[in-house]
Amino acid sequence: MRRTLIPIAVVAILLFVILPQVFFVVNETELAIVTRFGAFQREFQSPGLKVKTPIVENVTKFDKRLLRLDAPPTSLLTKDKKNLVIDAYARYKIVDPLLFYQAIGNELQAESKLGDIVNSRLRDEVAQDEQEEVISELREQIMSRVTLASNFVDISREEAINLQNGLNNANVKIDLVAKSMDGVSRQATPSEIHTLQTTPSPLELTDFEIRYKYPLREVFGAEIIDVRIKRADFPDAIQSSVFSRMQAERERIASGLRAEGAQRDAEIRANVDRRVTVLLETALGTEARLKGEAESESIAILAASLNKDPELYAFQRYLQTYSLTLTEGDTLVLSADSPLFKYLDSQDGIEEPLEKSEN
Amino acid sequence: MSVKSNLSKLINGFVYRPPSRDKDDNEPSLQDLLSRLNIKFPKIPGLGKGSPFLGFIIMAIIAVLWVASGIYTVSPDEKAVLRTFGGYVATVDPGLRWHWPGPVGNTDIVAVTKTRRLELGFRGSDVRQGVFQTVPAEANMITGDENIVQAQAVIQYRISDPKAYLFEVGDPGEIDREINEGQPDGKTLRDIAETSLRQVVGTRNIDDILTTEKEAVQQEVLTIMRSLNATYSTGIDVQQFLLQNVNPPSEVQDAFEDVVRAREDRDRIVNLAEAYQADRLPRAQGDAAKIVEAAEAFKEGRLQIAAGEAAGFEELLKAYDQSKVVTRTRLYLDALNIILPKVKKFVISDSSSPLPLLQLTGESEVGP
Repeated sequence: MRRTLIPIAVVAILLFVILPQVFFVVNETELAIVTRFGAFQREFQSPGLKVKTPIVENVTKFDKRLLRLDAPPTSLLTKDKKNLVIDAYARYKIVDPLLFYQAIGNELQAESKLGDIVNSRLRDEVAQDEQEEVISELREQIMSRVTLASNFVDISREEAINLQNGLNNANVKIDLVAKSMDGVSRQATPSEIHTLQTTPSPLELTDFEIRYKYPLREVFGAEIIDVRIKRADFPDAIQSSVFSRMQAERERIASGLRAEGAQRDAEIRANVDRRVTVLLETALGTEARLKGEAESESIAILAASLNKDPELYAFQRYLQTYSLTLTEGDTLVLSADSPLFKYLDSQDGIEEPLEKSEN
Repeated sequence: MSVKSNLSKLINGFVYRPPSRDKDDNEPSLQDLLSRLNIKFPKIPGLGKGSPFLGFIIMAIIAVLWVASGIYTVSPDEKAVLRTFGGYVATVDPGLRWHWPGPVGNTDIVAVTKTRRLELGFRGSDVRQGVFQTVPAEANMITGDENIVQAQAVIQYRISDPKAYLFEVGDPGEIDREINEGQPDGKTLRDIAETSLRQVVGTRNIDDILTTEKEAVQQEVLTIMRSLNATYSTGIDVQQFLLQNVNPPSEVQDAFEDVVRAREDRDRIVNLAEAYQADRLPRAQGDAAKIVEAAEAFKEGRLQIAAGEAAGFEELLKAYDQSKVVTRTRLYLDALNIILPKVKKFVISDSSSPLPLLQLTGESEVGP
């Protein structure tokens, strides 16, 4: 029984005790640093199977992935002194594991340390804009400015001078913030940097506040990739007044719409009435004209014919008039000399043809 | 067989009796089973108890089993991401595959063709059926004109790059959506969706968001979400951003509904006015046409009469020209023939003739 267990035990000890002391795995998502009794030895940025001295060397691993910083919602004051509750998040990456290890420790502590930096940059930027701008058009710009500003930390002049190359260190950024106008800043020119090297606050720069900045990655070994405002809300206290404003606005729109309806109604009806009147009046006008035309044209037609023998026409019309005007029961007094009785009393009536006598 | 035993059998058949405990004694003990199994082990020569070879054989079997455990299948909708000693090796397509099992290798199988969904502003299965719960903190947002609107959305996405999806983004995950730590469609995608939607809603008026510009909002949010996913290299392809319910907050819902009613009132009044127009105008046109047509008819009639009269006169004239006296006499007498029968007639003689007065009516007597 003992002889059976010996090879198994040897392999097991090899596998579970010695190998983990010699080899270690750096995952695709990890960065690792190796320390010997706390002193930094080397770092591993790429994944794979790595070797270390057993027992004396220690491995500390960090997350290489894009990491999340979620600051709790904070009430920030805008330029027009209004409060906005802003909930922002940031994404950062550990780029220098040793610096990160020294300055921050681990990812959990980064949450508060980097979170503070991001929050204060956000506070600064929001304070430079009006509430309206933060909500709408400037949000994108604010976010990119905060991202940029978060990647720098403030250092004192002494710290800056103590760096390698002092103020001429390529990483040092010197911002001049105008004291008179709020928030307007520019970078120091090379000649100004030269003066600052010797004098802490030169006379020609008294109008400016001088800020020395150093990249976050050089201090904390981390880089802020993106800061974004997730929510920008009104504080709870003023929410009810927002609602009553919304309500009033809606009432205005509603009454405006109803008034518009009444206006359009009156317009359309008045227009219709006008057109109807015009149509009828025009028709009556046309009627009058046509009747007039009828008279004149018919007179012209008749006149053309009747003028050929007016006497005959008169004769004919007189006869017609008699027959129309003398009606039943009228009394007609006739002269005996009337041509009507010409033949009634004559003796020669039979012999003499009418035609002859007339001629 | 006695009658009594038959009877007891009969009773046993009908009456339930709990199983007696005595039977347990007959069951084989564990010890017995093991001894029986031991007997069945074949005796292999040279592999008796205490041989070191047995240890190697056991290890070899374990090793073979370990290697065999590296066999896996990738379904048609999946891809497998392989790592050896933590380092990425390859992304492989569907099929029966083998890769080093842990702790040497890692195989992560990711469903890539599946469309997944993320709910924003609510949690629940189906908004349209009303089976959902609003999350006000996520749903309420400020519009560009400083109003508050409540918006709920569904994001449909796919994992387009399994390698990036697995290794590029650290994410706390979301347990209630069964998304594990390190999968960017947890908090990361939710963050991206929230910031994008609020950014877009912040640039628009509440009326546009509630009515006409929903489509534009969706499109714009989708664009921003895609670019953020690319920046963070999440390996996620956002396919659609779909707004579900977009409403004013419940506190001012009534006022918003009144605006809708007012708009309907306006449209109704305008429609009535247009109906009035549609009714009145054609009628008036008809009336006008009637008047004009009547006048035209009058004119036409008049002209016809005139023409007829003229033609008649011309005809008469023609006849008259041929025999004037006869025609005149005929006309004259025709007229008298019509007139005289109707009237009372007195004939007076100027020249004091013997017949000074002649009454020429049928009824009256002839005077003296």
